[in-house]
Amino acid sequence: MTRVPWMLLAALAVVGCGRRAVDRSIEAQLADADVVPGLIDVQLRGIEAERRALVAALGEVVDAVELRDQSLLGLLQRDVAERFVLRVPPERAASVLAELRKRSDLLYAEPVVRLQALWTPNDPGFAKQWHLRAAGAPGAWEGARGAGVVVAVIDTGVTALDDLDAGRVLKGKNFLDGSKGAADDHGHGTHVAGTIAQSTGNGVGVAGMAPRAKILPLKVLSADGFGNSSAIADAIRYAADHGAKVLNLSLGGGGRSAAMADAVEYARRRGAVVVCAAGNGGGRGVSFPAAYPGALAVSAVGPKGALAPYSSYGPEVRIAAPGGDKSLGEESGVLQETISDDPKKGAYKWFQGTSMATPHVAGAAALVASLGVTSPAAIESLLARTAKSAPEASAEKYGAGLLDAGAAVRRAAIWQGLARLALALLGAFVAVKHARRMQQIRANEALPGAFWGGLVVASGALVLLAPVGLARIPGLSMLATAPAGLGAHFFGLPHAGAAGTAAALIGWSALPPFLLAAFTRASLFRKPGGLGVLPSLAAGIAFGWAGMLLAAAIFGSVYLPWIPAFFVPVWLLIGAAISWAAGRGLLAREAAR
Amino acid sequence: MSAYRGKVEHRDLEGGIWQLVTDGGDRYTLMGAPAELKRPGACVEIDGSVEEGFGLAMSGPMLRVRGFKDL
Repeated sequence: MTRVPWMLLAALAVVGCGRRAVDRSIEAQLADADVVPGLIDVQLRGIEAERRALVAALGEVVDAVELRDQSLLGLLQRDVAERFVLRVPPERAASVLAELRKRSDLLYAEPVVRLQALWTPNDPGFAKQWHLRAAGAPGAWEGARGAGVVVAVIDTGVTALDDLDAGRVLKGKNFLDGSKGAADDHGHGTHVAGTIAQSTGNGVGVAGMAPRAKILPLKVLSADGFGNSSAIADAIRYAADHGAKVLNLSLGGGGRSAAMADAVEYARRRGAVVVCAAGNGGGRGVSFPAAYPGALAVSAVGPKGALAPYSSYGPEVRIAAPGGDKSLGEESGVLQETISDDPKKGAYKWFQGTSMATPHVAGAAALVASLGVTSPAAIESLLARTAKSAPEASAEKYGAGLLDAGAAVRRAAIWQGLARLALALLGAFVAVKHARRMQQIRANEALPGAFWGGLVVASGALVLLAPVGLARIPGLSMLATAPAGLGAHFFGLPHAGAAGTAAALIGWSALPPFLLAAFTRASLFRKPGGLGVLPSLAAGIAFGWAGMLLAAAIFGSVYLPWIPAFFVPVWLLIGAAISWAAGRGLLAREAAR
Repeated sequence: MSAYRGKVEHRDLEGGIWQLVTDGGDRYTLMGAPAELKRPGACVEIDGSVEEGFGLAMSGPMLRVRGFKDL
């Protein structure tokens, strides 16, 4: 967990070099401790069907699902469609490799190496959690762990036991009797909370999707698992008003309730993603609240990715996630910690249901939100766009497809990072060019490193490191997700209380770079001729900030409290313009030298 | 209040739910079922009312149990 990205990059580089090292003997390669016996990674030129036939003649072609299950897919993330992984008897690996390498149409043939690139938590039960791997959690953990995001679990309550860090379980509320606190007297809510945020990498028990997220437990279901619409509606509103970015509703019923429908709309307007279980009817017909507009309805699949026999489906289903299918065996359920007969004592149990699928999606939403994508529409669209294709084409059963949290995190990071950087650089380029034309900067005068450093960091372009281990260093991820990340770390969530609201509104405005620019200019008056690092840094920060605000405006990726949704892009554009002007103003000061 | 006749079933869903499968094939999730009713395979007649409630079972209508007798 403490390994740093540069070590990771070095490791990847070594592997990459190894791939091209044709002079290294096959035997030496196969003797490597990290080689997976009998698996060969092959890429050939030519037509796909021909290539496949050729490779299949040498051994068994292994499909991507199996590789994913073995956590080997990290190796093949980039261009899996172009490559084959071949299984041969381990003792034949050397001869097959030698034969392949004689081919003129070979791009490469290498033993599959178990990369330690993906963070593998040391929780002993993680190996059995096929569902977290199927949901793409290991890939996602490289870039995000859900820090600073609050997920409301509206359920039977949540009890923090051995494997759920009590520090991340907020003080909840019991909506059945109005009391404070929301201890679990059933086990369902604790299991669901475990899927979202089980302590991970702590060497105990099992793992969860968003291990640094916080849980807001709201009890609306009794000890026997039943509740009423008014308590649930109240809890949804309460969650939205108390800083929850994601609401998990692993519950439902057949009755429409105007109060609950309104509450779902309200929560979404307040910037929360409302993730709901499609229902366990086993047929067509999604239960409420999942079927309300504004809810993100989740159907359940088993380990093979096929719809679980109990899962409800219908046109409202937006995405499918692992909910278990115990008709394939006990261990085909979802494994998390929950309460045992003694409610103070934990037990690890295999559950199945659309309730178990829902928190995988809620956890993924928290991961994406922790990277600074905070508008519910943007989060939902990211999860849908990055979903894997389902085993059959049925939008009613699978919605957009099977959840892939890793792909969602990578997409969020790469698009945000590139857009922020490109727009920041564009703004800086225009400003510098203008300043040169106005002879405020000399034509041959290079801008110092501080300028570029300030620009990259302030733009939040460091988020581009997400696919290669950004989340391994909390401080770095904080900078990369700034200002959303800074706000979340220091003040809680965007709309959690006055401090959080202020942090979000100030963070997503031009105020910080403007104040910095003003301070820098003032200090220049005191020290004439003292130009150099400080004003350059301040100007870089201002252009970076402008790029970040502009990217957020273009992508519609940000939720801002108190500001009507239609005005958010205007707010961001105004902020970007002022930030840019602040940076440009500092370049003008350079002429005063 | 009506009478519902059928077989009690324990389903491995959501950590375990109790249902009544009626002779006509309808399925009801049992609400407020006493421990004595929770016997898989028991043929019973339940006095109760069907409710459109909410819960974690999400598997058909709910039957609030007032009383029952073995058949």
